[in-house]
Amino acid sequence: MNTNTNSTVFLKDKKSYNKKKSYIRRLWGDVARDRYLYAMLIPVVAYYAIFKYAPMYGVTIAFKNFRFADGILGSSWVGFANFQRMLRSSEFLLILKNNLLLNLYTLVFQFPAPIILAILLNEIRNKYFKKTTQSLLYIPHFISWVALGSIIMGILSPSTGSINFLLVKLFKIEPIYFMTSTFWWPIVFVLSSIWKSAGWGTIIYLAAITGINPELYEAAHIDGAGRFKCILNITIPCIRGTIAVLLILNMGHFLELGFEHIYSLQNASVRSVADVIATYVYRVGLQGMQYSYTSAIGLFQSLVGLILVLLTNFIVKKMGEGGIW
Amino acid sequence: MKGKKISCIILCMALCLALSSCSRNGKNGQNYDDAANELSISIFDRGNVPASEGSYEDNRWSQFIEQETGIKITWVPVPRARSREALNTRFAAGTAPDLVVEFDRNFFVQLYNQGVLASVDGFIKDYSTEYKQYLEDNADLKQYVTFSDGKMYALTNRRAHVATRGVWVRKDWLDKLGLSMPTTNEELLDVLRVIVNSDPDGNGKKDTEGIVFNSNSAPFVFQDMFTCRDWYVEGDTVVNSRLTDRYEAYLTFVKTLYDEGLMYREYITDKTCQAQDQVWTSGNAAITWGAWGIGSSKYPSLVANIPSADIMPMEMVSTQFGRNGHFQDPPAQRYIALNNDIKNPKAAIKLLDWYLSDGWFPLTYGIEGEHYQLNDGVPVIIDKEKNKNELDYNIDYVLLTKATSNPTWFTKKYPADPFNQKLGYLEGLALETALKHTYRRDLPYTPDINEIVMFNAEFDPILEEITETVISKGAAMSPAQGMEKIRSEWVRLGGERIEQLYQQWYDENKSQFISKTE
Repeated sequence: MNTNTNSTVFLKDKKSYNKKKSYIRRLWGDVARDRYLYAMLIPVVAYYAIFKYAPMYGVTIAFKNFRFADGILGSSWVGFANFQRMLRSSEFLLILKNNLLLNLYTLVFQFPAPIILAILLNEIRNKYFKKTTQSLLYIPHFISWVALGSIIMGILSPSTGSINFLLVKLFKIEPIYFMTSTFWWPIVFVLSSIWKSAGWGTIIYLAAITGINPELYEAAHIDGAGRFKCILNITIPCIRGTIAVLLILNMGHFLELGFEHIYSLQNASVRSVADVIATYVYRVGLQGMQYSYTSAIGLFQSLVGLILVLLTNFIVKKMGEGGIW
Repeated sequence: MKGKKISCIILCMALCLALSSCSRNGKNGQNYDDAANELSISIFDRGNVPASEGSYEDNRWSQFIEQETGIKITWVPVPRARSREALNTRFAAGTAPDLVVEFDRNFFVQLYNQGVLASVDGFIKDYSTEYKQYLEDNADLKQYVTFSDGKMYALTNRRAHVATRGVWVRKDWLDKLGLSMPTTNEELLDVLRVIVNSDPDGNGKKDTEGIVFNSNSAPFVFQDMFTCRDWYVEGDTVVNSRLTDRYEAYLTFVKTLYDEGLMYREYITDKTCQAQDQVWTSGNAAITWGAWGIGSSKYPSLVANIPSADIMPMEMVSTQFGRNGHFQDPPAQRYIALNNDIKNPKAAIKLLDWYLSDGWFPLTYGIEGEHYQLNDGVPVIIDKEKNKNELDYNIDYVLLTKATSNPTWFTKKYPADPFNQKLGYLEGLALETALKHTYRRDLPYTPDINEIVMFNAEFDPILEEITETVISKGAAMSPAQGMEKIRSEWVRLGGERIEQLYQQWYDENKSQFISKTE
């Protein structure tokens, strides 16, 4: 804090300096004075440089014709050929469409789920019941998709599944083969993903709710507000900032869909709605050794993620929240 | 912190491809006498080395090979189901083993295109005696290991037999209902209709399945019945059979099975076939379709549940287009390729020579007196349980083999009690039945043209989806409509160009295609 005050004074005094010069001067001043603190920063910077930034030179293979024998540096440059091929492929467009649709469903239905769940949990008055429920809700998060996939298929099986058993008994309808129906598959996908992640997702929101000043609720009660009014006018506005930050972070992963999740539920009948970038990259890239082409797709995916993050951040800031930077 | 710029780390999360370049070392007429007598070899991890035997890296048989050959071998386990991905990653990172073992020729073609395989012609010429002779005696194997520059890039041996797929029928049910073994596809449908509707297990419920599958190749196994799995040479033209009327007949046949409930309908979500295996072993299915030997290997658990059960292998039925055989493997078994970075190719060739001369027999049958006893030249198993534990896990350690298969051996190699004799009889019969009709394969291998590989990666999933829609979505799409869709998708994706490439490839290479030399 001291530094900030100093530099503000410094700036005010020497307004004739051009801004850039003064910034560098300030920085050097800081570094020289707090050299030991900055020295402590070196390992972290080194970690990011070595393990996060340096490997990114591998991204160049998206613009190359990569061969194992030539290596990353030795392979020949091909410019944007891989990207052109991606955009020209009719398959890629279908896959992008599937990907975007599933993302949209996930965003619309899965993102609000933990918020609603957290608010509901918060309203439970019995402490022990609340704790037990919370712990039980975390369990699905720790089950792997591979195991969950076969459980889901078992439950939804038209001949032996419990869901179809109930449907047939209650509504006297023909059993539905959910996993091979292009209508039901996306619904199963989104529901399974809510089931697995919603409980775990409440943690952050519950923490944010705990941070709300209880005086606000007391004041509302005195004014005659009921439970529902409190939720609407106190809880939700108070966790808006948290929601905004999580939304931005989510948007960064917009084009990413869990590979394991899709792969364990996918089958040939629903390819036209279930084939997504991740599975395409796996099929063509890892199995077909088309590393350059699939890197181009990966890079495209990251670029879209970056743009969405910037855009969401911008919108969130316009709406009066802090954003992430 | 307000107003301070924080650098964006989102990109970091994007792509982290740490791929290092591979180094090449020259090998021009070196002697390798001073090279370390060491090799690393990939081995399929099927998770079946018993704890008492050690691990894939170190067990009875890895020690045996090391003792016999004097070569220090590092076995590099790769998960069987994802072996190609695992090996690809190792090649990309420059940590691939000296010897790479796989069954898939296309995988090696891809590695060859990536420039990481060493040509083996020179090594065989300079260092080999056994394999050199073996290759002369089995000249037809050369076409499988010779790639587009005319050099050999792998070693292989002839399979003991090519049987792969087969069908098993509940013979006791046929007898009980007075049915005979079906010989045509129509008869097969009729037999299934009778069985499914007449409650052969007599439990008063209509819960008998017609066909269950035991490998995740359903419903493609029926393509072999109609000869529509592959490209075939008709006259001198290469034809994609999946665009022909035979494919439509196949669609119609499977749709009938599905619609009438004559086959296990949920095959698509039972990817591991565990549920279907259970249906079969608990005696609730008339037919299990898939691996040729499954009936005999599941026989003990079937009779444990249903003591009166009896089973029979079934020949492939004929159709209006004639009779094809059950799917059979090409004669080349494992492919063993040498990494370009190999330090001591001489040791590798010596090891592979040892396999063909002395190694394959003990690795296949075990140690005399311990695992088998020679009787009339037939190695008779002493204790099946002991072999299961000590011998059966080593199948992937047998890199090259001269083993042959004789159906009469099956009864001879088992102990003399009636149960084992029955088992041996069934195995022998299954092999004979699976090999009775030759599976039609006009082209020895698929062309290694990148454009075709890429096209297949896009077209095959579409074909599969249309096929599934026709079969399982009732009236949504008839076989004729499905066929129309397949043909129009073929044209839309540029299939005509693929036909040209195929034809061109066939014309250029047909002189090199050799069928088995007898």
